[in-house]
Amino acid sequence: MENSDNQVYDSIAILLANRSFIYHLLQSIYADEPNRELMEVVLDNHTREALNLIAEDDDDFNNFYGLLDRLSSDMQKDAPETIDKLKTEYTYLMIGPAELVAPPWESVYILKEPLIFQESTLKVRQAYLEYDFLPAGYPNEADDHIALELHFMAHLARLALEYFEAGEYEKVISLLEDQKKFLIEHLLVWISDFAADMQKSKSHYFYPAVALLTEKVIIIDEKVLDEIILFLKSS
Amino acid sequence: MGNFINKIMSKTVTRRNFIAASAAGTTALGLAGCGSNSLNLLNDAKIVDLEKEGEWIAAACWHNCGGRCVNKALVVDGVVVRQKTDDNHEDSPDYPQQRGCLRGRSQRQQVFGADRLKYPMKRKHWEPGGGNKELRGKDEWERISWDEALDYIANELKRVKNEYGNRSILHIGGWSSRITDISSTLGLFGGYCEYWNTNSFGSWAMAPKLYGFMQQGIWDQTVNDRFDLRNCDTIIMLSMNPAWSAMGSASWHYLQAKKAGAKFIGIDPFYNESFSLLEAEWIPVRPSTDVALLLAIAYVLITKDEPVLNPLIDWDFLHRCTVGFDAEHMPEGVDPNGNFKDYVLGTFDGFPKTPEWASEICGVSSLQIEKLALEFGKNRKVAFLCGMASARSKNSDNLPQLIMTIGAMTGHMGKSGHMTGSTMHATSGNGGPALVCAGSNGLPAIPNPVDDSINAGEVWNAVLEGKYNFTGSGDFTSEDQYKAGEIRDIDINVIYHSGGATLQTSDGMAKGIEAHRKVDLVVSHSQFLTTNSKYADIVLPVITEWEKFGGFDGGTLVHSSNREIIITYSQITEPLYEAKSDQWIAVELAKKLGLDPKKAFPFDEKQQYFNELASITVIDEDGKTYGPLVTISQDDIKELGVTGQPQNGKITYKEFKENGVYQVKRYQGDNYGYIAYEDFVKDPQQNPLDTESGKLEIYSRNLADTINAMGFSKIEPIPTYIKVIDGYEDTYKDWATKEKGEFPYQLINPHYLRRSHSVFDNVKWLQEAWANPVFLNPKDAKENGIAKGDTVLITSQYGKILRNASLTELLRPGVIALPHGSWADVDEKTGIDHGGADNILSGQTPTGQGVSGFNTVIVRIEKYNGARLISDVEKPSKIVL
Repeated sequence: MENSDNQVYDSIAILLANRSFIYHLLQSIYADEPNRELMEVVLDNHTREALNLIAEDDDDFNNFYGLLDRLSSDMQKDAPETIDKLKTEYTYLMIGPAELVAPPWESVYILKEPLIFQESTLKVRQAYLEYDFLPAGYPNEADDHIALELHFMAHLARLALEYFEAGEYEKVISLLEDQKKFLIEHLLVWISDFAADMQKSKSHYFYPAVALLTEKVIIIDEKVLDEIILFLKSS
Repeated sequence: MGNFINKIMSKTVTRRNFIAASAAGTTALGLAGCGSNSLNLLNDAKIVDLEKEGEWIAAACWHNCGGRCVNKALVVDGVVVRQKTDDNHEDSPDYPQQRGCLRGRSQRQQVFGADRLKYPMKRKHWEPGGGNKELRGKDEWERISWDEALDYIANELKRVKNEYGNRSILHIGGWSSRITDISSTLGLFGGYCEYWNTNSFGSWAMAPKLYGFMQQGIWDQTVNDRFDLRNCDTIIMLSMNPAWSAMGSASWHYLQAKKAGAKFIGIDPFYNESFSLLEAEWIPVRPSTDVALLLAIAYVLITKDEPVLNPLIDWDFLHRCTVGFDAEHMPEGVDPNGNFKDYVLGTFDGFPKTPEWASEICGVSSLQIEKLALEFGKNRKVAFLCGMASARSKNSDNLPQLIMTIGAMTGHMGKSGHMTGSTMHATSGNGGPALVCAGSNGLPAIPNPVDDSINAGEVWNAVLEGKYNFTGSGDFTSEDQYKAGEIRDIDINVIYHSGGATLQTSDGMAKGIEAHRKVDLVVSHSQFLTTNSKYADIVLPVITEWEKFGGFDGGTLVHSSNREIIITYSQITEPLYEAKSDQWIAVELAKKLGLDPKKAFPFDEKQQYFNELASITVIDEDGKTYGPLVTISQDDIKELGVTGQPQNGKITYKEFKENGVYQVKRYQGDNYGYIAYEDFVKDPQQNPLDTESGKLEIYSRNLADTINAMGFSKIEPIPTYIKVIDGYEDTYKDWATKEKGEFPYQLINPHYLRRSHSVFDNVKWLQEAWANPVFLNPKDAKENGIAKGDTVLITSQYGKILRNASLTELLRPGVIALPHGSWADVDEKTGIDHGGADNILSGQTPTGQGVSGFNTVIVRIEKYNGARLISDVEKPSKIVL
């Protein structure tokens, strides 16, 4: 069964690389105002391939692909105008200055109150510290911003891939278990509420759809992690 | 094998290629981003230790709320996990803890609100010259860097200065344009047009000092100290509600008087929480009609007084201590017939100011007026106390003088158990000089070379119409204010809000929004998207007091704290996101304007803190001598990294900082007691007041001359009844036939515990606890088909708002109580404010000494036809863009 095993290991490597890319992609989308470089990656065919690999049903991401098609065409017609539209929506949903319909911090959903820098924020900070990470904006910026939590997942996903490539499977298992723990204790706790609140946006150009995508990706990723952990533990 | 692995095996994806493509994608993302919202790998993660125990730090509670209390935060690595209040010593009536209220205890909800402003923002369609000005309040926003923000502002200020001159820059810094750090920068820049407002003081702002109704040079000091309240037989409260407006210990002080046997009487349209607490008898007076009521009380006192059988008036007091009461005591050179007594009796105008006459206006029955008058009788120990709410009325300039007159007629001044005057906010129920005095940060005062200053009551009109009544320079406390009026042209092109919530808290908000949509640039410093900021072009995020190195509150009485304490606080957390201090902005803007910021800020904020710390003084136990409060060692100075000298005081720096407060321990019979006017009343000749006559002036030529020269409206030298613009009489189409008019109800704006003025209104805990309805009497509600909880459309001649109805018999019929300070949330389609902002309903009509008439508003009410207003706490996004 060596061939088949090799195939499985190749597939796991692909899944790990794919997770790393998707988390990095989502982090980048939420982290800052959009620019042309970011949109090029978003609209690149690789994004669809990446999502296709984790689609449970073939039409899981169809809505999002439709959005990518529209964006591609908008970009072709008038890139600066499209970027401007995206920036405006990003500012309205992620920056303010008005109260946000879906404040992108975990504490808001844990407490069900629009507050940042709460006890739950310290727990997120502690999770980062266990891997020697701190937000670049520490201590002025709250640790549990969606982009930061996704970046943590992205970093750990990349580390897992690196250890996997190096054949250090024990480390991979431990990393994947920690990622699963982080999903369960953090992202999964609030991503659905966040995604739902993002739909209250007055504007539905891109980001509300990204929030739904993020929710789906995270829910799927827990299953992906389970699958890989189970395989690595049993082999 | 699982689904995902199987699926990939079924596809023709190669490991090497896919990993390379993923890596390439990730790299491209790295190039696209600029590192925002990203994690960094640490060299030494041990720099952060979340396992260590939290530390209790004295935290600021700095608002203009009516209290001044100790607040402490349990801090773990910049995160506040608990809050508490004063537990430095046991609580007792004589030596009370300085306990916080629901707002202070929600302070962390405010500082760490997700809606804090995090970055400088620019309105999308603003450009130099204004861009599309109409879009203010409904435009999209763009995040900009500090450098861009300051460049935009500096360039526009320079352009406007060149084209229109410095006086076209309207700088508003809250209650005074001179008090913010930007004032110094703009002063160095050549100056700015100021804004002035009588604020909470209404017609107490200037007038009392002209006729001797002020002690110690400031408000609230004609009232004795709190221990003496316990000596009163009767405490008559006019227009005050310390339970809502003076949190801290004020209500407790009044309660001690109650326990000691005092009877309370409450005069107000609202049977408020204080009256309820103190079981006060209620005199349900109509808004803005106190003058009529008090004139009738004077009438009863004069006509019922019988020196032997029914002594009500203290003739000896009137004779020795006042001028103007009767023809025999008029100032030289004026017509003796113009005296107060003959005015009240109607001797010359044929119109006696009887209870029957007053009753028709003020709504209190003539029987109740007569009964109330007798309560003032000279042989009882009476405290006649008032808040300033009823003086925040149009045409009320003679009200404080009339309050003084009643107190003087009945001799309730200058003796234990007798007192008359205003008492509110942090000094409510506790007169007397500060026992701890604030220090000074030592910064130089930068003058404003421009003399223009526009009254709040016409500021928005002035922006729109280019004309205003110049009545002197500076704010309502300025020596150069209240001069003879002079109509000036003015062309405002920049509105710079460096603090406060002026668009929200000035009369005539609807006009204010229009004015904001006229100018070339509106700048606003704030912590949230306040109403000022919502209608601005460039919004600058500023830090809260919790993000500053530290500071002090109190030690100057008026609105700062009670006389017995000074509060100190330390930094709780680092500045959130890109928020900066106002001073940082002032310094950086000065640089952009080509000015030397060192002229205004020669040393840093830490040195300023130290200077203030070292110069706080405290009274000695002898009750007379003041000396330094804080003991500061060489080590303290070294640790702070400041320049200074060690000194000895009553508390070490370390202990002061830990406690968060220094409180003078008081006890019965201590040396800190205070009887206002004591020396004057004992011997007026030897201790004259600072008035023309040296006495209390019931006839004040100076008052009438000053106010009449200002040119807003006219008054007499004695307190007389003046028909109030937008007052009760104006609720009638025809007063003579009593035909009601278009706006048949009077509306008042009680201070409300959800907020401190407008501050805290975005805090959900407080929104939930205090729903901010409009209070209606059930009779008025029924007459308009309004049931409990219905959404009510309230319309004045200036604007429309919505609120849900709360029905209460505690409010007299004909009066509507709309809590003060709610943030505007104007529906751009209908123009109706869904936020319930009080000043949407008020207009720009300055009267007398430039008084803001917040409590003189007339309206109609009706059940709203549109969708029911959802509660504020349920609003997904408070601000509709």
